[in-house]
Amino acid sequence: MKSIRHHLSVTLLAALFILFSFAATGLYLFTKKTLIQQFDDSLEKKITGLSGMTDIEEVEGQMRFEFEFAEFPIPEFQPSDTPEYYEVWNQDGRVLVKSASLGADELPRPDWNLNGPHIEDLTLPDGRRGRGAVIRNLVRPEPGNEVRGYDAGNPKYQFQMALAQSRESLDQSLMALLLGFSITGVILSSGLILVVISGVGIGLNPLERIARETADMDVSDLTHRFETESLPAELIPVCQRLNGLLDRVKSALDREKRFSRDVSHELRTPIAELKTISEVTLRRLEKEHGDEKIQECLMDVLDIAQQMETLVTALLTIVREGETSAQVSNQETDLVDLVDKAHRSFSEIVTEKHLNVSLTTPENAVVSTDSNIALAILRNLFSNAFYYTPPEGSVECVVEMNGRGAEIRLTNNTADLEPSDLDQIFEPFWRKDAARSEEDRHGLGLSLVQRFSELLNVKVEASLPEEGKFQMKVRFAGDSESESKTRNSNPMTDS
Amino acid sequence: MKVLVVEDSRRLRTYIKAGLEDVGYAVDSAGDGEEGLWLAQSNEYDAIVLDLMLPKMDGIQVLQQLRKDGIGTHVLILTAKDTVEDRVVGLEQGADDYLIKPFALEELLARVQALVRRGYGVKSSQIVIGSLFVDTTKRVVKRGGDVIDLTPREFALLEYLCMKQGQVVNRTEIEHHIYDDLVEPMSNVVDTSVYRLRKKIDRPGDPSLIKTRRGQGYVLEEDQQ
Repeated sequence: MKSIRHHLSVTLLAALFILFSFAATGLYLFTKKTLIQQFDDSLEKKITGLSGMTDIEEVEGQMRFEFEFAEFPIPEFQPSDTPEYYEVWNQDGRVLVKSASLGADELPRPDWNLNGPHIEDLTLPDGRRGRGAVIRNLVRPEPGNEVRGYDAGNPKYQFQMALAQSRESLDQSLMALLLGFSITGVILSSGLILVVISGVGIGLNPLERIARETADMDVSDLTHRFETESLPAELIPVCQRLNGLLDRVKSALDREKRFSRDVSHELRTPIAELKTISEVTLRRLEKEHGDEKIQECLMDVLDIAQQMETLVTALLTIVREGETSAQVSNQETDLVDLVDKAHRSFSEIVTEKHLNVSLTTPENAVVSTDSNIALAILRNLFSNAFYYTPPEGSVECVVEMNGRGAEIRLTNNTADLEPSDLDQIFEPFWRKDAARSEEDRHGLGLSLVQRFSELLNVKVEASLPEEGKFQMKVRFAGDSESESKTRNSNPMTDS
Repeated sequence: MKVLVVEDSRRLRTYIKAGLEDVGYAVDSAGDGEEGLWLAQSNEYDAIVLDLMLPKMDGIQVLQQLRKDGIGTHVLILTAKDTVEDRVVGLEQGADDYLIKPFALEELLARVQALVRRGYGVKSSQIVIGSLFVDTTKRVVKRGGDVIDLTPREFALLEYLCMKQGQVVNRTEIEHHIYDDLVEPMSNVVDTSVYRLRKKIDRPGDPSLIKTRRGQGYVLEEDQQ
């Protein structure tokens, strides 16, 4: 299942981590470059300074190069644990001078063509990682000291100098920098995760509250409305629209119920009139041995009034909410007894239509329910099954107990039901026969079953398990196990 | 027994009245609350059948006024309102029974009969006085096992005397309880009815079960012999 919270958190964290990584890497590289630059600048100044400390003299007709820095011991170029090194060559590659720290070792001789200060990493003679600078410079006579034949353009007056020193301090600084960045990164990342998760959580709180409220809504209670005052602006239109829809649904349902109730109530008095007129007149005719044909007519009138009364009572039961639930009285009820009682009241139609009826039940199936309402459910189901099963068809009722309760499956033959009918089968007044020619059926039986099942919190399902078969399943939540012994019987032959 | 029917539906009122009269009740009827209240205040009824939704004054107001006036006649509410709340309101306001439209006439008659009996403190519908057996629900009278055929009015007279068993009942009381307001009882109509009833229920040679208390009225009681 997709979750906005999860999606938002992951996306935000990923984006922030990428941004943060880029920023941290950039900052580290920039700082590293700056530190190396500073190191190199220092090295360059040093080699530039040292290479300028030269002199040339003519001694006994020979040119002699003098390197002033070699004439007195500079401590860092003396042998020690962490010495620096220098070495000077002429154009022919002859070593002119080198630091005492080199001893017998030599620095790698650079290419003569390298002119300006050139700096690169190298391995020092003592094995340490170092950084070396190379410069080619000109030996200059001291001002006022004329040297014959001195030609500044002649390479023989030039020399190449290499200066190498350990980059330990630079590496330590870079390591400290990296460590600092890493630790800061870890701390910032943890903080970022917390901030993102809590931020997303806080931001989505109103949405989650709405989702919880919606999930907790009782679908049969249309009085619930979403409070919009404390909601963020983005959710206000959503909740306002939901409230508006609920208002419309409630109003439509109220109108429908009010209409059905008013119609039912308005019909009650005329039906009472019809019944009373018929009954009083019938009683008089019976007493006075009146015309039998008139008596038959009045009996029909009474039957019609009786049908209308049944219809009105069923309609009122369906449209009422809340009122009848107060009348539910749960007690230990044996569903096997109820099934037996319910189907026996239809023995006349079973015999008349030559139906094959079979019951498969445990010894008992005790659940906690309202026996009167449960009986009304079963009577309606059996009535439907017996009425709509074609002559000589079969009706099968199975009662089963399991760990979750009891299940009653009532299966009968059907000639014309289609899968699409199942969507409407619980609708009041729905009948497969569009002509509605069955006088004593009103299409309210299954609506009543649904209404009663809501009262008892019982699950009722309609299905077409195989071609030509219609099945109603009723599931009661049970609290006691039945005996596993099962009996098969034909109730019609038993009776 | 005298019953008042207060119902605004003309047809229903007429036929309830007819149904009750057919089994021997004297019935007055009213089509609105005000008339119903006036009749209930002006006459002594054994039971009142009262609709709730009435013009001019609704049934609950009629009931409240009756109880306020100290009239304790048993009232059967007859209404299309069938919710628990409606029933509770009616019963709380002093109604004794509640019947929802549409109803079976048999049930209405049985309930009215039960209310009438309650008014006289009689619990069973079967009354036995010596060898006389009266079933007020099935409207059957037997003497020594023989069924006696009575007219509704004769049955009503016997039923009233049975309810008042052992008590002296004067002619005016009988007139009030046996005849409705449209019947102008003639001075000797009660005596004539008692005479006819005696002829039917008494056995030749035996003392009459209905005794005459000169200057007081009649009393139905078992022969003390």
